[in-house]
Amino acid sequence: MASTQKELQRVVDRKYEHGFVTDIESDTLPPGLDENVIRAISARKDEPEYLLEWRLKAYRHWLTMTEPHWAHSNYPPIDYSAISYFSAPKSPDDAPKSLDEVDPKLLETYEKLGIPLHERARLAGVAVDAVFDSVSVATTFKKKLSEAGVIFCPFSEAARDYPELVQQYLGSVVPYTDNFYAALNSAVFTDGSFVFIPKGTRCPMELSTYFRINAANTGQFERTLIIAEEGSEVSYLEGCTAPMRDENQLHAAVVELVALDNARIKYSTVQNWYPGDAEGRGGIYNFVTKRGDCRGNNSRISWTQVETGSAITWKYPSCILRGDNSVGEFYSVAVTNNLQQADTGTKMIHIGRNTRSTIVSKGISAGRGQNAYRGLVKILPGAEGARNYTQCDSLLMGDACGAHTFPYVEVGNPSAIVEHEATTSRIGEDQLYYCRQRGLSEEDAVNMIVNGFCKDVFKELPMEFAVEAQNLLGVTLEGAVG
Amino acid sequence: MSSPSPALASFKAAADQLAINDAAPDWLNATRVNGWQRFAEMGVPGVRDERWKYTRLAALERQSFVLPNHGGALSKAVHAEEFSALPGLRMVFVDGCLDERSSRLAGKAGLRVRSLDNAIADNDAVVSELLGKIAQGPLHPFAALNTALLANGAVIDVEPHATIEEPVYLLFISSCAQVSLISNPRILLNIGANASVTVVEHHLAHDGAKNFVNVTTEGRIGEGARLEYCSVLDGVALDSHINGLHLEQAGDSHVIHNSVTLGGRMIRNDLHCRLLGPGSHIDMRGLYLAGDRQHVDNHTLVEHCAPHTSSAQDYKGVLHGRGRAVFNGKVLIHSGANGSEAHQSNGNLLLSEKAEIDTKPELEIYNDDVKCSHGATVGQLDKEALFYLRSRGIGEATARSMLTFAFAEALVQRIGLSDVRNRIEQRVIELLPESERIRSFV
Repeated sequence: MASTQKELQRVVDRKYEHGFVTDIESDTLPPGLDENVIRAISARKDEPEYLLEWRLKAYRHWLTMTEPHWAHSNYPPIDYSAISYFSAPKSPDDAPKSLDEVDPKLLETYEKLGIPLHERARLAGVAVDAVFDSVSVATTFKKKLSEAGVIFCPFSEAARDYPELVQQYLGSVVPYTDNFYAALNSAVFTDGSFVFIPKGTRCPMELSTYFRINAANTGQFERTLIIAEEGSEVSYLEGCTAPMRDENQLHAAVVELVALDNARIKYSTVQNWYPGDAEGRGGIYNFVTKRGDCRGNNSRISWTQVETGSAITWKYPSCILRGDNSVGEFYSVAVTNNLQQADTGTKMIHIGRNTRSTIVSKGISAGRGQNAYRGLVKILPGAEGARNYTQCDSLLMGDACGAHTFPYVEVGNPSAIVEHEATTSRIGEDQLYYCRQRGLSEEDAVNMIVNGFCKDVFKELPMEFAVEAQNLLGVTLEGAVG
Repeated sequence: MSSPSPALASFKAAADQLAINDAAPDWLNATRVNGWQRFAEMGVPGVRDERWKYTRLAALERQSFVLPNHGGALSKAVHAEEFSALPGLRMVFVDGCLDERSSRLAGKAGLRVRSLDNAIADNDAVVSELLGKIAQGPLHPFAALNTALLANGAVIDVEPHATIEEPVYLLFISSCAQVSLISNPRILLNIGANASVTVVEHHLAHDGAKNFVNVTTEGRIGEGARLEYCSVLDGVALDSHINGLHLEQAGDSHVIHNSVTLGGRMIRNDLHCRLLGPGSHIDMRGLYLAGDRQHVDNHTLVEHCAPHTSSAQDYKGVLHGRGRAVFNGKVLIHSGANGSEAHQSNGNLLLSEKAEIDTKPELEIYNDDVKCSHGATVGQLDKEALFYLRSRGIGEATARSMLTFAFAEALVQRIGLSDVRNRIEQRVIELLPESERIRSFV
């Protein structure tokens, strides 16, 4: 046990590797929020009138809402008037056309993060829409995508160039009335990605966006909208790192997915934001609304997430299974260490007939981390033949951490079959003993067992993310148990 | 502030009435006033309250209730005779008032069973040690209401090392159809170290009775003691029923709780158990049936407060017609409870288009040295089992009835007391759909 404690201490003492601040002059609005701030954001983004109207409606609605406190987490009250709601890198007045035009300092940042943009883009065949703070500064592989008819661009661009699509789908999955943070996001969102896959098209490459939070005291409010038309298919990857900060940063993103008949959307996330230091100072508050709407028959939406960062995670990627025979999937690994708190899970709303959903959630708590799974499986009376399988397992490392499960199951149709299983335990002494007896070091043994524990989720990730995810997990937890 | 609901106003009037009229000792009135203050602070929980999310009390709130008239003549308790053949001590309450003619309270070695009235009048130590000491806290507004309107109930005191073979039977009959009555029975259990006893709490109602029964039970289970506690809510005639069972268990004590709810218009069962001593164990088994216009809500909370405590939970529900059931089982393992083990399972059988189940098995764990699991299933009869029976020449309808009955029977069979078990088995057969068919093969 002594060596375990030492190992644990070592992991606990590990500094956040990606904690640095890029020295770029930011064009930041003063802190505070009122209608003028929203008008200013909209003006700076050169947005059409309809979007400004929508933002203002959202803002007025937000004013009537109260902050939710039902999540299993503790944090000091957030002062929404102390946040600056817009920050954009100043140097490029017009968005650069190619990587050469990108501010070298930005590229340097990506280098430090271990994400050589061009190299990675070419080698992995991934089109990267790099979001630095709030304005997209580099978009690659655009040509190849446009040949296929795929639209992949920053949200503000889509609002100008494809107003009819944006108007049709924006807020149709997550309306601005949905919840407190979704309303706030709708009012002040600054950028994000817009993806449109036309009928019968299989997107020729994996799409990927790196979100970063940079300027001090700037909440980042991303908005992503993905539309897959009939018979189309897309895989979207999202990964995040953020610089070290002493004050908590608020991140309230909204992601909306729409899948029409026979369409498939796969949305993968590896999230490694700054979790705060060993005493819980600093760190990102990640209050995200992600929802997919299987609007068409035989459509499929799959969420895969690996959550290792953030001081507080509040995130429930959900599926509305509206179309008959539609399928929703949720695969998640959530890791909490030190004083991290995660309250995450999913909602599967079965509306159509023969809809199916699978939930696999793996929670790992170490140090003084608190990890909660919160999920809802709802079978509406019309969802004839609906099927759900849920498995949520928790692994505990250390006697000061916590693992919690709050699954809601609401069934209103007798032909539905719903199964929920959960287990909570620590790594078995006998498993460890077996591995050690076969000559593995304690650390390797733990790594192996933890990776095995998460295998069901990792195998859902695209290849390059799976590697990154395993590394992340190794970094966060290596040697944390005995 | 909007004006209080009719129910709340009538509760207040009842509380005031008790405070003025009763010739009770000062401490009792103070306890009641305190109970009322706590209830008034919490109020009648609404659907915004997480613990009452699926159970609406709006219909209850629209009614106006009066306290049972203790001086009045007891209406004829039609069911009391059915139980007269049972062995053991017995207390029968009709509309909240003790029916001494039907009760049997002769003493037994090591066991004292008496009415709460008498215990209070005698300054019984059990009352001062238990009353309001276990059922408290912000989770239980109706326990506070019970305290505020405290009238009568039962005190069961088992001496250390006493083994009581025959069960203690508490029968509560609701019969009043003229006015809506609220009765607030309070049951106190004091089980001494290494003692052993079985207690049955059985609720019945005459057709058309409009009672709101709000029971609160507080039990302290001594070291190494054994308790089997059966809560039976018998039948569809029950109107509004809120049942709170609150237990504290010392080291190495062992409790079996059988909760059987066979229907009712609005039923809420709360079980809150605190495992305070190492080695303590609770085994919770529940069976609930709900048919047309019936609502059954089971909430359980087990707190593991000491090392090497264990709990097992198995709840099963059969829903038919427009029946609706709620299950919420929560296991809370505190940080010091090393080596604890908790298992929870909830199975539901939906037999009709309009039935609904909302289940939420929760785990809240603050310790790594634990083994916990939970599972919940909702579904219909196993197709393969049906096929098997049909391949043996059994008609489909009969095969369905057999499997439905077997699903419920699995829990009924585990009730230790044969008299209770047999009666419940018969009632289950009567209340399941196609009971004639089931009778043909049982």
